[in-house]
Amino acid sequence: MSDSLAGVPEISSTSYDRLAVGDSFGPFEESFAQRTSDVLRGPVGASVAGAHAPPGILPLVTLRALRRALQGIVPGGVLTRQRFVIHADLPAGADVEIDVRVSDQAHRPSGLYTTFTFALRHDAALAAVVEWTILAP
Amino acid sequence: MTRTWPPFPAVTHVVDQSAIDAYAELSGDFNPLHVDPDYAAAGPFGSIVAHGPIGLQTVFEAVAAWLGVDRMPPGVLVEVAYRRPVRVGDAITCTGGDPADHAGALAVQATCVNQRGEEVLQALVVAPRALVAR
Repeated sequence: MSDSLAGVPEISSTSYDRLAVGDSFGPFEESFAQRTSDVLRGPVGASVAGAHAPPGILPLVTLRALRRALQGIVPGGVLTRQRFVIHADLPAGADVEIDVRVSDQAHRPSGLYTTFTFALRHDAALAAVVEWTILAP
Repeated sequence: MTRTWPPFPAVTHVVDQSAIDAYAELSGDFNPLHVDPDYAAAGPFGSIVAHGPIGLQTVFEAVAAWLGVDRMPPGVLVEVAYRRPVRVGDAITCTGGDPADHAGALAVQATCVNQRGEEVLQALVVAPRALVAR
């Protein structure tokens, strides 16, 4: 991976209840290499060669974009749902651009659920849309 | 006449701390729930839990094998609901039901369980019929 997280804190000082639907961040540029694609093609860490980026690249680069958006990972959040819609192939090594938006928030008895929507572009064309829903207990 | 579609393959991965550490390095997610045993022990799960996408790798590998490709082609949708945490040492097995043929697409309901048979995630996989070899 590129060093796009240099200078970004590991842990965020914000909290999910300080976000609001419509908040947007980015675009963030992320790069991934053939080697990163290969270690996400099967069990994490087991390298398997291939010509295209495997789907495991999508949660990885969107997680990096989320860390950049929130200036760190908000501790204690629990991933509850994800949605991946593929629009175009990605090569095994590529530069992508990611927009992040807070698309939904819901208070339930178990806590605050915040949904982030990521639009991922490659060569100026939409490659995938990814959603993450995170519970703050 | 009913067509027979290829079955959704079963995939098993064993998750160890080295995989969690590798994913933390790759993703930059050092949430202490994943990497700090003391913090995790005092948290809601009582021990370190894996990043969600680590268990999801079984679904992704199964989708690629089902479609006979090394990627997830355009037109494919995967929706995931995480049910239980994946812990260090868990063996996660993803299996899928029979593909349902509807409106030009095939849908598979996949389930991932740990070695105790506990469901850790559910996934709905939808692929255009043309992508699935008969």
